Amino acid sequence: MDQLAIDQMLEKIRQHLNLSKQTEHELLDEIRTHLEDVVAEAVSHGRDGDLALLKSAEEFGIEEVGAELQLVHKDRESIDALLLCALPVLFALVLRWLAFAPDGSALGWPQLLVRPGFWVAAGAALVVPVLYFTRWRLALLGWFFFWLITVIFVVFPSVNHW
Amino acid sequence: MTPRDQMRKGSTEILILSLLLEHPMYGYQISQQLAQRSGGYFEMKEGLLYPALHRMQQNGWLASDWQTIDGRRRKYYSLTPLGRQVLGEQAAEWQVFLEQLHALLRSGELWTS
Repeated sequence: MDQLAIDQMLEKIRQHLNLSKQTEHELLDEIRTHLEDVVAEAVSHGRDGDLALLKSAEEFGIEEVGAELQLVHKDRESIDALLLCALPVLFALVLRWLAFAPDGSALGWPQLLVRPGFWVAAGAALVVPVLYFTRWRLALLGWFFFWLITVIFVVFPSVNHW
Repeated sequence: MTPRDQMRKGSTEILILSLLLEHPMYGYQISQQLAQRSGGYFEMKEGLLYPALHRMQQNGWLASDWQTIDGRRRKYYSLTPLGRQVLGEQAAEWQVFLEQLHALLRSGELWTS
């Protein structure tokens, strides 16, 4: 009964959230732990767990907490999304600077891969998103774009005229 | 919202920062500690507590990590160096506020103006 009631309360909160799955999961996990603590404490003092849960739901302001948490997190997620788009572009610009000589001729793989600057850019393209977003999937996605742009630049040097 | 609720809302941040100065705590523990230490006066609504914790974390005042203790996985919040600095500033500000309020109440200016 307790778990079912907790699930229903969490579902009500979730309806107010429109964030990434990971953020939503973390938020709801934290509130689940809180509600379980409420029940455990009530039971340990000989009180009814369901009643304690109902009281907690009232105090929580289930409707309000979802909306408040959405407000707190939505700006951060928008900034993250913007950065996620901007970072590959930034690294692509660095790459373009590395891959093209001043006279406009493009480097081939053999020349590019021995340049320390290329590996610094490649490393930064992976490490910066990992450190900032602390999500390896986003970092790998950014890294995939980095290599995609690298391949396009090197294999199709005519992009120099973009 | 009652005047008491408004005052409690305004003091949410300093209350949380003060508690976390001692050691890291999770949300339920924070709400319990606040209620216990104030004889129930600072019984903080959870609906206020969690958004506040998350906002303070985004401001860089708090850090958090998930820890499993006694088989229970919980999110513990701790003060960052910036959080300590903010606590110091807010505590000083509250001190001035309370002194001025006390002085005003004692002088009776509130009732005569």
